[in-house]
Amino acid sequence: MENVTTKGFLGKVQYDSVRILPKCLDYPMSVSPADVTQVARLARLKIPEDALSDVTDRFSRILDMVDELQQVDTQGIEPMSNPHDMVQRLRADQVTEPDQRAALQSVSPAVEQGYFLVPRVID
Amino acid sequence: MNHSDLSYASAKKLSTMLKQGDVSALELTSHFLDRIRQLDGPLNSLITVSEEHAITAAKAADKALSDGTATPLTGIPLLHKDIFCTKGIKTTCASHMLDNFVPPYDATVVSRLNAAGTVTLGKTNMDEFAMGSSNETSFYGAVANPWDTDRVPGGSSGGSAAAIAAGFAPLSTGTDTGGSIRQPAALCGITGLKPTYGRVSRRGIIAFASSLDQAGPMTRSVEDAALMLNAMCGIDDGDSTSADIAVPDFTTLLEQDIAGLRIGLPKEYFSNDLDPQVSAQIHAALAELEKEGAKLVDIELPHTHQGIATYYVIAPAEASANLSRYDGVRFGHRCDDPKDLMDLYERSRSEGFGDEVQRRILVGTYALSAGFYDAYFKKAQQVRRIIANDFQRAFEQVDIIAGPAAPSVAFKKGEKAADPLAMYMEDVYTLSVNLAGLPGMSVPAGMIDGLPIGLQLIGRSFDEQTLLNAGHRFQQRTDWHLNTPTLAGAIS
Repeated sequence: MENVTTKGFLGKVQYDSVRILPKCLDYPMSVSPADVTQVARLARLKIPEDALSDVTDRFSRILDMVDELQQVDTQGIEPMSNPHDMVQRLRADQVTEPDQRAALQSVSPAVEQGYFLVPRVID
Repeated sequence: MNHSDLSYASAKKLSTMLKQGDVSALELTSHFLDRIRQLDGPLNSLITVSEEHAITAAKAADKALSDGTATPLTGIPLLHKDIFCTKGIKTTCASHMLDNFVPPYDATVVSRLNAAGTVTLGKTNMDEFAMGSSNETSFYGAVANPWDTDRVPGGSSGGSAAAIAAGFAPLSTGTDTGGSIRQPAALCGITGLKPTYGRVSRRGIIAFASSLDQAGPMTRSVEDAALMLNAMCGIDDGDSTSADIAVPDFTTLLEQDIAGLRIGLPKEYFSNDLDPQVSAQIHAALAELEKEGAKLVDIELPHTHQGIATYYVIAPAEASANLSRYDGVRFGHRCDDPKDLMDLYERSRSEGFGDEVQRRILVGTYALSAGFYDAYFKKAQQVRRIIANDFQRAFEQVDIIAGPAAPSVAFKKGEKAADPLAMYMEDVYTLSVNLAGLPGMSVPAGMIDGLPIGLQLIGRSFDEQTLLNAGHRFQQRTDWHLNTPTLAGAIS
């Protein structure tokens, strides 16, 4: 099995080329300022230049802390996303909500004729 | 009856007084509004006082009392954590992002309590978006602990806990994602219950981590918590994770004998991380329960420490998804003069969210991103099941589990604010309970150098009744819950 290294994003993580799973020993134990900037971009946040080094440091320490998870053997354990393993409750596909557009848009920052206003997206 | 008696009277007692006509709902409301105005300055426990709404509701309550349509909660003054949407009353989640947000609807919990006749006096301060354990991350400033105003009240429901301890109302709502009801309840010397996941509807509660969040009562006694919980619970079409399970009258079994009740003591909860003085007080509290006939059993919850890592992957991951709705378009803060859509998103969010919220969004986004999902998020969800299984195994041997609610008494403001990891350790005894979805409660169980500590009781899924029963019996034997702080400016 050949190992490949991803490019750019979030530094060096080695992947098993067949199963596309990161290998435990190769986790990045900390992140770089460039990684943080990239994650911030995905999260639609802007980190000021002068705060970047502090943010990166704290981010790395949190990742080091959560790395404790890797000590737990989870082979064959089903992930738990709901404490009661509930499944989504469904209802009949019927209109039950009245039109509340005016009430809901009353707290919007910029509205015109029932539409939300955003900066021009198509030139 | 003089005013200080009213301030610290239980909801149950006030209910009797209202029914007998000893006091009117309007008089009660005015009394508490005056007290808030007079004493909240140095505490900063409220973000909004909703005087007009309160007076209207109090008048309606007085009418219901004279009509004979009153419930046990009619006319009882109450505070809501500022995470519950209240129609027509500003709801900020203690964030600049929602500084201008007036919800067009009520949270289900709010409408249920309104229907029961409670009178909303205002909205309590909290950590921003409920992310914090000290109430220092609020956009509206830190909350002070009424027992020592140099210290934190805990968080995130720190304003609710401080307000109840200060006698600003007998009842408050709180929410608990990793300890946010129980830890501040412990640090302020009040009673706080986090119900089983699904017991209380989350509709209209501003979402933090949807698989962990639960709302519950914050009161001065277990009896009042039971009374309030009765009005909060039940299935709701507006929350598909609310549980379709019968809701008992939580007040009926309070007095039941607890002889033979098996109480598990996890050895991990009494390790070296626990302040020895807190440990001694918890053991003294447990001895009181033993005198009631309960049996103490040593148990193990072997993955307690890994709970922290599990929680700090799952909660930020869910938060990063939930908080993606704040985009500067539909509601909430919008930056000035955005040059394009990306600029609108990035600046609105960076201006609107504080440091801790941004930090958790970053960690959550990272944990969910391509290439890291399996290593962090899926792994954490697997460990979550292992933790839930640990509890299940323990509950084969015992009926409830007991331990401290927090590792120490209230700490000084600023002491942990600079170090997120030190702050995260505050919730080591509480957050596993959210991961497993179980009910948990903190009751006042001692004082160390004038500061309260809390005994945490953890129950089986949907078995709040046994917790309330044990907690009430404890409060029948002890008077820690009757202690009140001396407030600056109070007329003695």
